[in-house]
Amino acid sequence: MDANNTSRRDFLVNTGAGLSAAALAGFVPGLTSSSAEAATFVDPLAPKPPQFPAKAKAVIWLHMNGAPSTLDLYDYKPDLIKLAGQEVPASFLKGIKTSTQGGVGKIKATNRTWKQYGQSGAWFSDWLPNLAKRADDIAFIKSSVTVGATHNISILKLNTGDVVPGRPALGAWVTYALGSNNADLPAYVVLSSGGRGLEGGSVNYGSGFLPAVYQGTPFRLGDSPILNLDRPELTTAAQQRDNLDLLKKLNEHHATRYPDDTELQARIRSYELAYRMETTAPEAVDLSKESDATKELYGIGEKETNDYGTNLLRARRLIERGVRFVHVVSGEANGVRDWDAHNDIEKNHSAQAKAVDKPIAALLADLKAHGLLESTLVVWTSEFGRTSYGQSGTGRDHNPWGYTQWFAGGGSAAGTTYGATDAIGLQIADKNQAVDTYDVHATLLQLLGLDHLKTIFINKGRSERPTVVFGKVIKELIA
Amino acid sequence: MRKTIALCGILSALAGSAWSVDSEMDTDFMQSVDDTNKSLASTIADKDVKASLAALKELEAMFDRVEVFYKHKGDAEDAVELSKKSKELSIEIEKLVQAKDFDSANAMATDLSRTCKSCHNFYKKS
Repeated sequence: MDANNTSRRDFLVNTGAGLSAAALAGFVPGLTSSSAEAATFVDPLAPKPPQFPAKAKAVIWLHMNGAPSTLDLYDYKPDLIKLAGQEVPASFLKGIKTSTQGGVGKIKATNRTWKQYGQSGAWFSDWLPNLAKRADDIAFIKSSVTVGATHNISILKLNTGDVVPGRPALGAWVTYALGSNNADLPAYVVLSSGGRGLEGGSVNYGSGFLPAVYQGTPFRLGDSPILNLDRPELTTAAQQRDNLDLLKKLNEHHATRYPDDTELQARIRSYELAYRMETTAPEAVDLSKESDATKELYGIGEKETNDYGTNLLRARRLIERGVRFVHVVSGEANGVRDWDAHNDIEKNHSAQAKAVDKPIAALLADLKAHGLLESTLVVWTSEFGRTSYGQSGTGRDHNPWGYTQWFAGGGSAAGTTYGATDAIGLQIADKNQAVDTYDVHATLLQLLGLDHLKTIFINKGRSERPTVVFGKVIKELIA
Repeated sequence: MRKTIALCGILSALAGSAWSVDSEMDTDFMQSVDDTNKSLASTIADKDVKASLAALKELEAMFDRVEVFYKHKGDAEDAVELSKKSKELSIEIEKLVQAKDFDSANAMATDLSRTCKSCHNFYKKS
């Protein structure tokens, strides 16, 4: 065909060929696939059955950005209070490499009061008075470990399972394995509350080597969740549809030249999804139809809790509408940008805890009231914890050797605790109970009906899985 | 004179072998172990007996070298033990692969990865 003499018929014929080529373009569903194996076009986001009966259908991933001191929230240690102000006994430091700027400080206790809650008797500090009332919904992991060099690296590991960029985020794996439950909304949504944000950027919710269609879609705070989603004022709906149809045809024609370009395929889909989302997304995040009581429950309208509460209520609405994975990043609270309390932990954690305590308690109660907690796994997680010893007199340094995370709902073992830290909360007490990020991922996938060892994508000839070469399902976390 | 030359040759060979043990435990070597372990995870997932056994043989030889290195280095009993354990696990995985029990081999391969990782927690230069 002479490119300079293309008839309208030629154009349409070739556009049809483009559609066929799209079939070969690399969207291959199923759990063992590669971009080159597709023989016929199948929607890459079509819902797929789990590998075995699932307890959870969706996930809300609550990332406490900056790393809270779980020692001051959940992990009550009388010895820490007793030994406060003293040097850390050498026995507690055995086997770890500290790199605290200014050196390891003296053992530090904050001004907390502690109480046990619920039938489980779980300990909570006075920083979490509302969440404490949900004690019996929670399955604590008090023996979490990770690699704790810097926030960027550990956050990347938390979200993708590796310390260097390039692997798919957990939400992308879930979307790849299970598809979407709502064709008019992204299957994987990221909600951020401002502040420091994810410093590593989009690699934390990217699709890595999976087709780009599985990456997370960030929603903003405010009435318009996606930038430039609204139709321009001077364009009619019909004009917009015509424009999109033409754009789609041109893109599909272009795609025939690059059959392995999953970015291009994802872009074609994203235009269509954006068009459908013009009506569905604003409705999904529009809180005006929620009752005043619900908004009050989440702390919406209160200065300290408004932004995070808004995101969590939106998370519930998105899950209700079939979104598979909602990744919520905590943010600024009362002028404190995140949980990273190297200095003045009292001020930092007072502000951060205040911002999340009421909304998270509300989320658990609200999911339960809507009958969604049974099928929605809520994960409270962070890149690492903080040290039992002080830093700069008023803060705590990073602690990858022993900290707390938790699961709630989605078939997790409510009202239980797995693992423990040592007497001052610096390291895990029993190395056989270590729960690394890979183990959290493996257990989460298990609850979704997916075997992490059999959730495979072939990348450049190698079978890759979400847990890289690690991962152990923590059976005690499953009801 | 001939005896002196021979003795020097033996000593320099011994010194050379000690040096080579040290030099072999560099980042490139550890990267090879990591890469071979990843290949093993892939070949087990693919149920490829031949490729899995080849990767396991490579790993076993690598763990032997790690063990020799840490014995030579001294004051590293944990590392010697973990190297031995890694080799033992590799041999067990080999049996499972030969029996075509890939599910068990897959699970045990994650144990092997964890053993590598626990060694790194103590000995990896940061």
